[in-house]
Amino acid sequence: MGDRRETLRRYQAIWNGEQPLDTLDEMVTPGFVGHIGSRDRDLSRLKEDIASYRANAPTVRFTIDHQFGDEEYLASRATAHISGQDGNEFTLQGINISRWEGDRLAEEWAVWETPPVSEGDDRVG
Amino acid sequence: MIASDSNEALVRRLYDAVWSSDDFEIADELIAEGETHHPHGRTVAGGPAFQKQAASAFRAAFPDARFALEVIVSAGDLVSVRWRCTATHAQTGAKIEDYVGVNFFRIADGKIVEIWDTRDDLGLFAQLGLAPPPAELMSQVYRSEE
Repeated sequence: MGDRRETLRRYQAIWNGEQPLDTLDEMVTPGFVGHIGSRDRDLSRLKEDIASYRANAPTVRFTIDHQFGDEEYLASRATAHISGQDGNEFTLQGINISRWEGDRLAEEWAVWETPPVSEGDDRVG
Repeated sequence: MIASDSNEALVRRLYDAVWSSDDFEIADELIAEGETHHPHGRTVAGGPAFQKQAASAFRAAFPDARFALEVIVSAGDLVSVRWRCTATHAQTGAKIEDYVGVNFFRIADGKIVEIWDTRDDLGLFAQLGLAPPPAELMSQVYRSEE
């Protein structure tokens, strides 16, 4: 599992703009599928998303807060640190479950919080 | 049954009984009184009463809601699930096919003591016609996709 955690750390570094996008090719399986909310993306679309994200939100940094897993899956809680135009930082929380084939990321399911609709919006789960 | 199996069964029961049925009182058996809840990254006091209120409010709006656990991971005192909810909105009749979330649970002494909760609320609003589809919003955020 240590190798998987290291691979996810490098995956996060790509999202943070700290590693080249093409290093994804050695981290994920050719048939990779990501489920982001209810939207699906393959490796090609993942690369497009990261490139667009870095171009439009270059100051965002992701950190992993907690991870655990079993033989096939790794679950991670993560935080996106976002600097506003006023210099203040705010954060968004996300949870990601990744499925592995050997040491390669084969599938992931992630949901990131959307801003609460109102105070006290604590519904579901 | 090893601990992670019983923890997984406990979380499955929460979704089956409390969130997919109207057996709200089961929450008393599953959730610790001092449960800490992290919705949207915040921290609030949880507990069985909180869970019952949240589930009953949701099921009042979506009476036929069914939560399917598509992925479940458990190790030690932790369980993580990716759920998908299908439902009909009572007020409008809108069919919800794709409301998803990923949660973390921490379990101690046979009860859930902490929950981290993320949900695709924007996707739910889009399916209810209350917001543009997420893909449309993404294309507006990511100018290179225009």
